[in-house]
Amino acid sequence: MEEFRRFLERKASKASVRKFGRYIAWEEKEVMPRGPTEFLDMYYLSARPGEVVVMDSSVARDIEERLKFLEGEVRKLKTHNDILKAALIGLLVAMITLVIKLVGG
Amino acid sequence: MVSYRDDVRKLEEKVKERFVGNEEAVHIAILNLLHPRSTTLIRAPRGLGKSTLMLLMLKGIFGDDFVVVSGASEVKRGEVIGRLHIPSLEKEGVEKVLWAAFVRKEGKGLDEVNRLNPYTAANIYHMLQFGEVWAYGQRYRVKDYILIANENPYDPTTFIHPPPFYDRFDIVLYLRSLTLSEKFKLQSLLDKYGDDLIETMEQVLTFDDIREVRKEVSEIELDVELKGTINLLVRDLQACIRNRDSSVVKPSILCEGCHFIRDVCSSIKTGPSERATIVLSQLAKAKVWLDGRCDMEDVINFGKWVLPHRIELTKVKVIQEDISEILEREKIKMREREMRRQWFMLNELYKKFDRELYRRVKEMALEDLVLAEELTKLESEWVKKGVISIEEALFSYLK
Repeated sequence: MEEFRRFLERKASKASVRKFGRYIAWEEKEVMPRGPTEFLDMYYLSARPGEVVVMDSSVARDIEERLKFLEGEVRKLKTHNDILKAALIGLLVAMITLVIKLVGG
Repeated sequence: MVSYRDDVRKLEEKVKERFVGNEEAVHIAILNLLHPRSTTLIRAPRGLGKSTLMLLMLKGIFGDDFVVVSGASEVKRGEVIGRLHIPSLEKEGVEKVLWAAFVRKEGKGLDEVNRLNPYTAANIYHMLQFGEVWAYGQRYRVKDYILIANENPYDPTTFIHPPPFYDRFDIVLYLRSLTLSEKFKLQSLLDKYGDDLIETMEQVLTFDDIREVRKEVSEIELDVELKGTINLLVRDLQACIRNRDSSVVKPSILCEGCHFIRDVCSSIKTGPSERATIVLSQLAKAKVWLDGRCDMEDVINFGKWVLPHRIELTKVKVIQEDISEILEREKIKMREREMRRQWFMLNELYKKFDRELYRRVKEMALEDLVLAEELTKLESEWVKKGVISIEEALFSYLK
């Protein structure tokens, strides 16, 4: 615990904070906004994006195509999912009916 | 006057003269030699120089006086740990154990650890854990040593060793294949050393020298801020508000609906053990001793070698890259903590309760689990003293 307090004290001493009674204040350096980042750099090279991400029209077209394809896939999967859900409910009803019939004699 | 520092640097130089590429990995391997019972695991696919690096390091310190056990499922306990001395048993009825050279020698090499059968691996695990080996009811205390092992994780004859076994290795070095220019360099080296890089490696220092170095390194006092960086890094990777370690459900299911879902903790299935803290401290001390300085950036960078075999991620693509990404996020997180002056404010709260400051720190703690843990400790005290009510405490909200 003592070492932890020492750590806090050290960090506090380096925080360059001014105290005015109950108030504390510090100056923050203005961080210059980073230049625009290429979309492909951000996506494939894991570059940290700046405020603005740019892409050329061919990349935008590729993404649009891909989104359309993925949306189609989602629709297809949703239809499959609905059919499976209906089949499952049907089977469940059939099973319950069968159990009731069997138990009921 | 003998300068051990120069000798250790010379060892690194001599290894690098014969081992092309992977310079950072070699430097870390050298730093890892500088604390007692050092263990290094080299991981790479076939033919990237795992055994070469292991042998160069061992030869540089022990000359020819070291033992390498090759992992194979047929390796018996007798060859690695010890066997019965049959004449003593037959003539005197005494069970005398002949301890294997592997446990007696200070320089130990393990080639293809992944091929070791589980029984032999269990014996080696015991040696790494307790510094002793047992055979036929007799114990042998293993003295200080250097153990360098290697494995090819893609080898089809691999045994899957348990995570605690790998946790006993201080660091893991991943080797990469050589670039075009490095291949030319390797060819020149092979021509220079007559195709035998290992036999021509000279002994640069002795194990007694290493012992002296280890003594000097252990006496180095790490700066409290550096200790803080080490502890923060490990804690960030361990902490889980939903107590992941004791939970039957693991991330990502455990993280569903959690306030900290976007934090680094949600990428981790099993966090690192406290050994990570110990090894990071040992490497930091070694770096101060050898390079004269070690800063926050260096400590976080050590994570690349200390964490991959100690951590289980929820999604793994390439473990080294995944760990590097986590470490980058850690650097940003630590910078943000500095910018928010959160340690200053926590320090103020330790000195004296202030409602406005408490409100600010509570807001920050909603973004930082480690800060939240420390603040809730303080809150418990304040609740006991009646300074705040349970309802307004952060721990009530986080529950």
